[in-house]
Amino acid sequence: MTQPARVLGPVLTPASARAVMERLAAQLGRAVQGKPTEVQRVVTCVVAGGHLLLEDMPGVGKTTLAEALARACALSFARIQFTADLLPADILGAQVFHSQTATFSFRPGPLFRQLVLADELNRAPPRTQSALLEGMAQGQVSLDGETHPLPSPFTVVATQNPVDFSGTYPLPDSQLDRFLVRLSLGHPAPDVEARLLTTRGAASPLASVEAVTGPEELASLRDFAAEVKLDASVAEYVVRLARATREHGDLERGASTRAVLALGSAARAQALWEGRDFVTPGDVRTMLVPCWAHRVLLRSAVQGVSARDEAAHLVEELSRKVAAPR
Amino acid sequence: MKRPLRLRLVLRDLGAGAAFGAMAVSGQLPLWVLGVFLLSLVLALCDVRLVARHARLSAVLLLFAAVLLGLRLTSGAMNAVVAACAFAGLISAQRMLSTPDSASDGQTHLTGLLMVAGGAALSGDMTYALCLIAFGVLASLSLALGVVEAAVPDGEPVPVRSVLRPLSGGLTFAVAGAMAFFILFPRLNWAMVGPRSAPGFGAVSSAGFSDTVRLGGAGTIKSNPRVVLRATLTPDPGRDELDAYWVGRTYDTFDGQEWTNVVGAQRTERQITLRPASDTLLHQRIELLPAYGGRTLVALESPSRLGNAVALTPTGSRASTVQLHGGGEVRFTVTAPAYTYEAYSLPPDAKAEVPSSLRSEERDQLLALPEHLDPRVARLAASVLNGEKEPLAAARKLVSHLQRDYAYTLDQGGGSQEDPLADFLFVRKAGHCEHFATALTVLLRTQGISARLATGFFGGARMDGGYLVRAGDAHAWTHVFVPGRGFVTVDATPPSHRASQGSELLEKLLALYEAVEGRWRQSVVDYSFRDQFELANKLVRPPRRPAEGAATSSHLPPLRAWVTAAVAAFVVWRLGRLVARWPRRALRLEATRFLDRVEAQLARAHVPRREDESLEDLTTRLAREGHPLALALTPLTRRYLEARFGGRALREGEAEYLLSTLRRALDAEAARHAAKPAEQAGPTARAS
Amino acid sequence: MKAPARPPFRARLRALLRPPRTLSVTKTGRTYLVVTFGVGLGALNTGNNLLYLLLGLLLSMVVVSGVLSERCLRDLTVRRVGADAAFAREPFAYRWAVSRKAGHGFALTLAEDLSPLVGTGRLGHLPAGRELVVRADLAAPHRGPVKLSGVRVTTTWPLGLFAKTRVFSLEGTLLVYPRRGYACREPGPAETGPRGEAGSPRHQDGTGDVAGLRELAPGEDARRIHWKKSAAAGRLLKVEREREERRIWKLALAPGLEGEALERQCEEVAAQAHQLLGAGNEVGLQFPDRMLRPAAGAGQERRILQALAWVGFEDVDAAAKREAA
Repeated sequence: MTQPARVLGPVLTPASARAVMERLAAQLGRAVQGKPTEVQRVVTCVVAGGHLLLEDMPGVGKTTLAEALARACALSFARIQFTADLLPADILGAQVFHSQTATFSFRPGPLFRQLVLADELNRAPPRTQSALLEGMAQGQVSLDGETHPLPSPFTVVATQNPVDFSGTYPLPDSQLDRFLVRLSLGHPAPDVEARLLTTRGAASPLASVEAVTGPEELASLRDFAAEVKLDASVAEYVVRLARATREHGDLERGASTRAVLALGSAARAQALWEGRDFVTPGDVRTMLVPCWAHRVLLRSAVQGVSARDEAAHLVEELSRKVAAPR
Repeated sequence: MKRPLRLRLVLRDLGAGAAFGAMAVSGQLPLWVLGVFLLSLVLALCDVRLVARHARLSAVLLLFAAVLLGLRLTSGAMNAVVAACAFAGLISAQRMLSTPDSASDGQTHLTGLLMVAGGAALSGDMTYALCLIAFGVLASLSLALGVVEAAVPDGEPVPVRSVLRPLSGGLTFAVAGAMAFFILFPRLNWAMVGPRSAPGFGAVSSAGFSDTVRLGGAGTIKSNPRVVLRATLTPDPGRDELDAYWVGRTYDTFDGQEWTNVVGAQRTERQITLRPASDTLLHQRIELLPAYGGRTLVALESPSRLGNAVALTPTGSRASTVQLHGGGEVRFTVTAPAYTYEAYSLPPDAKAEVPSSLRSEERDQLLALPEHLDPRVARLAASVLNGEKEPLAAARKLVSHLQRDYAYTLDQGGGSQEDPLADFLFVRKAGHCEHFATALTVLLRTQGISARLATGFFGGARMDGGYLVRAGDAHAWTHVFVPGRGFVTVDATPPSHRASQGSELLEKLLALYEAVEGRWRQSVVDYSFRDQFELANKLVRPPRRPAEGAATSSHLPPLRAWVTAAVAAFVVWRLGRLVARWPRRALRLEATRFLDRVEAQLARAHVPRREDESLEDLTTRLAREGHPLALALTPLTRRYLEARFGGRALREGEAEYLLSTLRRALDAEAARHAAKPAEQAGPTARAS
Repeated sequence: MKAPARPPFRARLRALLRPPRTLSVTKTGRTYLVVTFGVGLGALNTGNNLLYLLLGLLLSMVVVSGVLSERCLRDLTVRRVGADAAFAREPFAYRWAVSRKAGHGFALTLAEDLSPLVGTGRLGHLPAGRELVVRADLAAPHRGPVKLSGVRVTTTWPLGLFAKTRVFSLEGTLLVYPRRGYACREPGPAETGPRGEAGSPRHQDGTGDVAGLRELAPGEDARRIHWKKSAAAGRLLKVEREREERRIWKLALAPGLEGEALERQCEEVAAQAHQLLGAGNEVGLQFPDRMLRPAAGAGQERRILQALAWVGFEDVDAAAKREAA
């Protein structure tokens, strides 16, 4: 892996933060073509310090996106393919025996990377899922009474295949809450697809992705994003939105407090895109659906992707109904 | 089964107790019913539910009580209302003692309600109002607790405190509403008269007039402070102490021990004239209270006309005729606890047309002496009078002698019952008003002066524009016949002992009670359409100030005044709401005002915009579309957002500058639009 | 974004004057009204002022009763929490959540409006600012989607004389699963042969029964060590466990059934699936037109029950199904 290039000094300004993010997005755009908005959201999510859930058909470039992200940020990367017989030890790691020294030592699993791609998360049994999600929430792994801290920054990009649901273990709603942003990429536009046909045969798009930032800068970017000013009226707007979801007749469960906090941090990161150091209601509305669509529970509905669309629709409708601060 | 809330049962039972109290204050219920109910109440409050174990026995007892009451009713010993009330009390007692379930709760409350209604028929005491309110409050609390208790799942505590607060507010409103209803509901009768309570628990019918007056009877009457009579006089003398003689009847025959009359009942009429009327009669509207206990009409000394009597029975009021008896006594022909009537009396100094002399048999009667009169009596009279023959002067001489040498006492002990008069005059030399009056009368008669004994009341305490007479004011005095003037009142009793002799404190307390009770009676029990009419009159037409003369406002029709008041109230209310919203409006920020102006400009320029699109979204969209306006809008939006959410306020004049750039951009856009049709729509020049 | 416009004054006034409430008189209330009527008649006939006073108290209690119950139902917010699983013809736990911004609510009875669901939930006291969950044992008469139009909230507060009802309009659908009665027939033979990811018994590191002990090789997971046996043998031994073998059943719903037979069939399939899934097997379900792929676990049982619940109602309420799916 290439050494991260130190582009900027430690002191960030809104403009320089925006520059870093745009560079990052440009690199990702090489890997996933024709999806500028989604790429922007991915960068926002990473800068906000959250985990990302990609729900989409197979073969639209979920894995490529995650790998490109790892390359562009120069993060250590691991890809875990979740299967029905994957055990917690397979991802967390285990105490192993060394016959020469007759001692045990901890062999870290693939989770101990800065960027982890959890492919087809819903194929693993709940035990394994919750091992991953616990690591995501705590930032550390506890095994046999020992605590092993996960590297920093630590980001999980999980993918789910929404079409083929049989033989899977859908994520419990409480665990969905752990993902800051949920996205679906969707099929590329026809012209992009045609271009892919002509160019992609030559080389993997990943090869062209360069490292434009590093873990340290990413960490300082995250700290900077956390400092973005959130006006009291905007905070109140977020809370009103949450209350609207809780009081909505079609939603069995509205946004949780964690969801409120998540929307706040996502909106902060989103504000950097405009080179601003304060959050506007527009930032909140932009991140509303990616942040909340998977956190609300439709009343009397089977959880699934069509339900997700319905939820996204409802949440967006709410954002139009709830009056924004002026 | 869930264990019922103890507090609710206690409230329920206390409520039933209050309802029973509403009947019991009338004092008409049989004592045994009273006892049974109180015992049941105490048992129920101690949570001893006897009937729960002996349901059948209690039913049999109840049946027995019903039969007993029915028998008393058919035999005429008991009023139907009283019997029904007593039975309701017994049922309530039985329900209180049975297993507390929802049925028995409901029945207890229902019997309570019936008892309160029965109490209204029985008594008009003020205590009834207290009982009524107590019942309303207690029963409502109990019902509300029951409602909540039924909805609370098993094992969870009933939120008593939270229930009490909103409910007590509601009850206050209910009581106020009851009063409003009472005041406003139109009465059908012009003059209403509520029931008068029965004598009650105090001293019973003390001042009744019997056909005889027996000397040496009990003298405790004098200390009884109960009010027996209430009178309103026209013209009002206005004095605090009336100190007048209220005569009931007279006696002309004394047999040594008691006074009687020879003449029996005479005529019966609506109104009886005792003496021919002159035009300066003193009118009295008199109400006899249950404590009076008799049927004799009373009026101020020298009554002229008596009548227009109304008997106030527990079942309502009805007119009663009056009957003339011997001794100038007028009686009601109907027995009732209380009466009202009108009387006209001759003023004390009025000259009435009286026969200058009595008929001979009448005179004989007024001079008759007992057969075995002690000869010392005549000797005493002769020695005191010393030959005085003029009746009035003779009487005065005797009075001063009696008041000088004889003491007033209420003590009756050890006197001779054979000849009480001699005992008074020569042995004890002390007695009460009847002794004094009898002595004077008999002494006068021994000297050939016609005289008779009169009984009634002396006194009259001022109360609410009228006068009260108490049982203790009962009195006896002497009428001396003066030829040419008729009967003249002479009182032998020492003046300080004529009126009531009760304890000072008790009398004050009673006066206070009577004042409140009088108010209650006047404003509640006797509330009538007349009062309503007066009230409405007062509301619509305020009392005109005499100085103002004919002010224009007094000519306003009341309806228009009301409408104006309503409109004014509505306007004030709307204004109040506006004012209440004002601070919120003032709080809006400078940046927001700037936004308002920007939006107003955009709206005037008809910039295409979705209904709920914010300025931020609009700018983003225009920028994305490459709209020429975006050039002007982007910095403006940015400054607005910074000022509103970023904490960097707009500088002085900045808003105007930004707005002017926007206006220019809008004008340019409009010009471009106007030019475009002429150009025949080439590819739009992108401004960015 | 603009604030939603307030409804015009006249509409608000009309809403204020005619709130959607229904009022019924309870048994106690009937007695009360009869007595009130009697007292009123007595007052008018006898002209007894005390009876007027009593009548005034009784009538104003009625008014206060109305006002208090209105205050009790106003400012109330109800939402459905719903049921975990509703089975036909057996009571299931159902929940509503009620809250209010101000004031107190007392003695609330909740029920579903205009639906075949039977049963009510009761709540004694609802303080302001807290959301309380009201639980009820409801029963549904038959399988399938139940259209819910609103929640009826009734209160007899304060005196239990009148039951005032307010209907909160709340559209929704409750899917009632077929009753899991007794399965009369055997579910038939299991599918045979290893398939897909259902592991083969050759794997020796599963979580099933102990298959044997083997010496620990370098680089193997230390958690597999059987410490007791290792101590006895003096060397590190590893437990080998069987991978659980899950057998697969494919149940089928016979085509062309209607009415009672269909109900019975649904119940039977539900019962069979319940038993098999409970035993840890994979169960699939064959419908006339589509197929539910075999899977194990509680999630699969739920999917089967949902699919069974919709049988026969597909065309009846396509829109509701889209929403619920």
